Amino acid sequence: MEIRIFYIVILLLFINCEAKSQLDTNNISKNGMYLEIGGVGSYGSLNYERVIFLKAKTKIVGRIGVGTYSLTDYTSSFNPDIFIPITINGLLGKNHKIELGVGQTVSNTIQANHSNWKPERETNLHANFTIGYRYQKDKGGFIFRCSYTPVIEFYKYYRHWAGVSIGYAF
Amino acid sequence: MKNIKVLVIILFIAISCQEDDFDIINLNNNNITVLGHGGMGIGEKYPTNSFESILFCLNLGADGTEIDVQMTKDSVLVAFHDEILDHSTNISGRIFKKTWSEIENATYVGPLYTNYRLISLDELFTNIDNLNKYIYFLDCKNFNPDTSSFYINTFNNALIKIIDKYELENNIYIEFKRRELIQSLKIKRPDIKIFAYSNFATGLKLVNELDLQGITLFVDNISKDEVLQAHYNGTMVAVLNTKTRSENIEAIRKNVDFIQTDELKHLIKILK
Repeated sequence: MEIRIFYIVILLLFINCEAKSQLDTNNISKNGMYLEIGGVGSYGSLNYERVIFLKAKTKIVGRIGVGTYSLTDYTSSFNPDIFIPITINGLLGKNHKIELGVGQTVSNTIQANHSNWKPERETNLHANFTIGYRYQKDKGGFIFRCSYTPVIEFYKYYRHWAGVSIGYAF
Repeated sequence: MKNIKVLVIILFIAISCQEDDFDIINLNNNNITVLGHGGMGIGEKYPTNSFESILFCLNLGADGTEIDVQMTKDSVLVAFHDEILDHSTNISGRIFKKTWSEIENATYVGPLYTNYRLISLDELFTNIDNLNKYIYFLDCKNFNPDTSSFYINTFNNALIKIIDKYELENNIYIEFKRRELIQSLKIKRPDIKIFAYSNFATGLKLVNELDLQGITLFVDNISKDEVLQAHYNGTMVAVLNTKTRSENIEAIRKNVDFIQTDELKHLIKILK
């Protein structure tokens, strides 16, 4: 139920974003791409983000990414583990920003089936959080982020985690 | 001229790293058996002793693998390293104080967003294709302080049962630290190969007293001369704790018979 509500909120925010962002100046970059090492996408992920709310020094961005840390399974067959982080992040500040976020990571991983012990793809959801620093000019350009990104794996186990990102806003 | 010199040096280094550069002389038909340490070793993608780690190790081309073995309260042998479950799984306690049904759904706290499961030796051997193609070093972790003959018999009977069930007497090497377990197994089944897991002096003493096949110890706890001394004694040598490429090479240069490595891909590349 919580998961459905989360996705509905994200959808509404994305729909709402176009109207809001039209109100603001064109000099402010609304898109970003960055590579995150560690972070909510597991060990590394490539991410796209879009501003969905903008007011003075405050931004809310929606982010989606994709990550993996292995392309083959334990039988050496091509069978990548896939991680999709989806987050809503609030940014506060001008060039040096505080970043706070919440979201979910969808994991689609390979492990042995517990009955026949053959490789099996399994999808799970995990909650993620972001508390960090971001350098990014409003007009765009270089992005640097470093964050504490704890996760609640399988919505059961709290785990400390962190990430560093570099990217480009446009 | 300078470029030619650099090229010659690079070629020399490349040639000197070739497999046939190792002039191996040992008791294992002058070959070194390449074993994973609990599968793929420490620090790899899969947790050590997990099914995935062991299968990946065998699929990569290793000759076999070392497996840490513990026994539950109801005599089920489990592949697991640590004395307590707390640090690397989602449950707590000690394996010898739990029944198999209490721990069979435990998962490793492994890489983020994964849930690899604990496995019993029976489940493991049932699900390895071409089981008899590989070598298995069973490192018996007898954390249970019980020294009674009941415990010793129960543990060794569990080992014998699984070896016989899968007809692995030619493929399995048992590693023991405790003398009483060695003595008991030796009496029950003299055909099973046993290695003393100890330091060099104590290990060699146990080998001579109890007529064992070999000794197991950390690679940095034995010299090339000591390996030679063991070989003169008719004792095979297995080493572990080769965590880097240079430690793999160091182990090879010592002419040991078995290497249980944490840097498996490298060892396969240079020896296979």
